[in-house]
Amino acid sequence: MRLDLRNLALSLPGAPSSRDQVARFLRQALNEELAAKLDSQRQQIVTVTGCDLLSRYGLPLQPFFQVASERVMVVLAVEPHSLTTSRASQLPDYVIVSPLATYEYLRNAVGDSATVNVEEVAQ
Amino acid sequence: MTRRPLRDLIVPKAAPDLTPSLVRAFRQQAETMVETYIFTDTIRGYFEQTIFDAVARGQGQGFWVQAEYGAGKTHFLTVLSALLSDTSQALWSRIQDEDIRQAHRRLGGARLFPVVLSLRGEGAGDGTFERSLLDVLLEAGFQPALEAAGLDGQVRITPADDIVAWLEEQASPALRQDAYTFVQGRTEKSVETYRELEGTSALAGLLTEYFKQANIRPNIHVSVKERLAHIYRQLTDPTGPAYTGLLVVIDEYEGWSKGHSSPEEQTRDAEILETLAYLLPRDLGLQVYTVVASQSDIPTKLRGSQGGDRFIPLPLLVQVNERDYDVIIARRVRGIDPERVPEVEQLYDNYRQHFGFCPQPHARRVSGHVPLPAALF
Repeated sequence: MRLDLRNLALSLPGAPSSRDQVARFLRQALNEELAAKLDSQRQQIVTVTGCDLLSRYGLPLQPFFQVASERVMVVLAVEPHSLTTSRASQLPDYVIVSPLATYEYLRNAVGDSATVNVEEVAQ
Repeated sequence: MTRRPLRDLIVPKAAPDLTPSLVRAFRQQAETMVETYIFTDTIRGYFEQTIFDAVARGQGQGFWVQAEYGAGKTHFLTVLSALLSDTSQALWSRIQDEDIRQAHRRLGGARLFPVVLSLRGEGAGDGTFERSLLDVLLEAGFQPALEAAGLDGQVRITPADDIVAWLEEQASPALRQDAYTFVQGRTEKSVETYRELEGTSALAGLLTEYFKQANIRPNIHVSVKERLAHIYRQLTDPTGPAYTGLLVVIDEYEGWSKGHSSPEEQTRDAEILETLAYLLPRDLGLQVYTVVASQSDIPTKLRGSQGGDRFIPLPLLVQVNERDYDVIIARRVRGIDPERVPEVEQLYDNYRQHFGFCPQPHARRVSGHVPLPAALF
């Protein structure tokens, strides 16, 4: 099963500016989506993309831990730098771009033993 | 005499869910878990003599379930939460254990409101968005529990809920209008529209700004103790939900604790657990039953001056009760064909003749373990 959080965000019942409210909407939508799409009796792998939304809004990973089991594996995929260098150069000086922010957020949340960095593996 | 093959003696049972998630199991699989749960002597004692006894006496208490990964904490918590929050015959009649089923009468009309949560994954990935244990308890514990009970919007749990309610219910019409005008001026939206779009928390933030500016201090419960007592009183209001008490079940405390290990965080978390397990029951006489499950022992700060008075320790599968694992596995994966019990005993006699280390068996223990090796008896 593929789950793109950016697509999921399009279905939210509004576009609030409050971080708390976005996080609440996202968490609720995520729980509903996982409950609707996952069959706990089958072996399944859930590949999640758009994970920068998790770090952007500080979403806990509890919804994923709740569905992960001996039958369901959840893979949180972090795309290579979502903000390119060219776009970063257009930002004002007081904005610091941290291309690894999403990766670090997820790594801190799930722990090193559950993290695979393909660039490190390739070296 | 030829011995019957094992396949004729035992009845295989359906494979259990080995890694249940507490909240999902409690909401969706409670009946099945209650029906299939194996009460060993140790677990029966915990349920009957320790936890049910406290509930029957109406004295709130904390319990600390300590066990390693895979020892059955989540199953234990799911069954306990289900039995204490639903004392209907429909559920209790599913229990296989006669002694536990009989304990039903002792609980009388207890009807505990269940707040069941797992802290696994609740920590943020960085410090920017870190929430306190109380935040998580309110957002991931109380809020979903209220929704599941059909009480969403009827019980105010956060300070933000109370700030908005204070303005709507207790402020003078003139003050209310002034606050509405403030919000309109800052957001170009009405209070209702802003709340619907941005949420109660954002609206309460704006109102707090207004109160500061107008030098007003709404009477809101701010301390941990006041807040939890405030929620409790709403839930037990005889004219409202009318629960007889509160059951707070927290799983995976160890992982949370490791991620919040600074002295300040440890102190803050201990304060919340102490409030739930000790201060609310002892100081205010509230029937709050708190069960925390962790791989580690009770933190020193929660031990109290007399051992276990904050939290009563309930260790699973350690030292004296480590053999429980054999019993649980043997009984959970297969049953004995009742017509084949004589052959089961015959099988054990055969073991005993060939292996001198086999002790003289107790009939119940033999049928409880077959076909596991006799050395386990």
